[in-house]
Amino acid sequence: MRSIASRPQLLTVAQAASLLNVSEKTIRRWVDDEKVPHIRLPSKQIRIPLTALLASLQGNYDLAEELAELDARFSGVTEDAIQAAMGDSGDS
Amino acid sequence: MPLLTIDTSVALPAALAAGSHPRKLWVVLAYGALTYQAEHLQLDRELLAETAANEGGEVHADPAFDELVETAEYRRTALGELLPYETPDNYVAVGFTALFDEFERKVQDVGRKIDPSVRPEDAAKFRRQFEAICAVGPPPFDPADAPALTRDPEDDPIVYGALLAGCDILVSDDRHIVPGGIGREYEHGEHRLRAMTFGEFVHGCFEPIDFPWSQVEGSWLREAFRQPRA
Repeated sequence: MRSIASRPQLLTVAQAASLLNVSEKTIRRWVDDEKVPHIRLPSKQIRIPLTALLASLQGNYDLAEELAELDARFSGVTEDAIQAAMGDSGDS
Repeated sequence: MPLLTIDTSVALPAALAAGSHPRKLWVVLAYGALTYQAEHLQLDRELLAETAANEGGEVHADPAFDELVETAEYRRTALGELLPYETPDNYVAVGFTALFDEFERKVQDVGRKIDPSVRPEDAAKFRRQFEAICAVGPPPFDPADAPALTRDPEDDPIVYGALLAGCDILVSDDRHIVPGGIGREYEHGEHRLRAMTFGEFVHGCFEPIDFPWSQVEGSWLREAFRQPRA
């Protein structure tokens, strides 16, 4: 049996925006720019496939550049320091 | 295809410390996500076509799908050239709103303790890294609907989301999810998963297949996001 998550799913614009914590306007812009596959239903509502949405992230942002910048800024951070900080927060 | 949920206790060190052991797991999961995209994005395309046939509507899939598949294949090859030969490509990470929201909140909270200059826009960037290593997710759900599964109500939506997704494994070092550092089963309805610590996951899933995971470099994650040459 296919697990639930590996069955393809369609999201509304609101659900897609909530998943990525971006505005619905951002999702609609990606749709209008054909940057993410989608279907426009007869009701004019839009549905976006989940896996394609996540895969599209790497085209809508320069994730490699963002990662390089973050890794450089946090290059001195160790796993122990994070564990200690999480312990202070009661998270580990 | 084992489905995994990586909770914040493991995702935070993976995100914030490129040299950490959890970052190596993120690299392997990025490899799994790219493999999944290259092989399964076609299912999304078929679902759009099926929806159009049943409900009507206009599909906007080309050239976006072809580009996504080609890009996934390009990145998978680039990353695969660096990874050890035995690297598994079938571990797929699951993502959902409650998981990403908690992660982003904790990045700000914990990140500021480590570096007071951490800004909300930094947390958003870290969130995108996490989102991008996930390939699938459960149907959207309201976190308020999560039943009491752990000793911490804040952790219940994470476990619930993983169960709804049909995850096999929840990797967590959170004392409320894996009390005493000892793995345990969670179940809800017909769903069941095993929650285990990062150490137990490595010992139980990587070591038996002789995958030298410690040879993986955290910086290789950039290959998973590399822009294809024009």
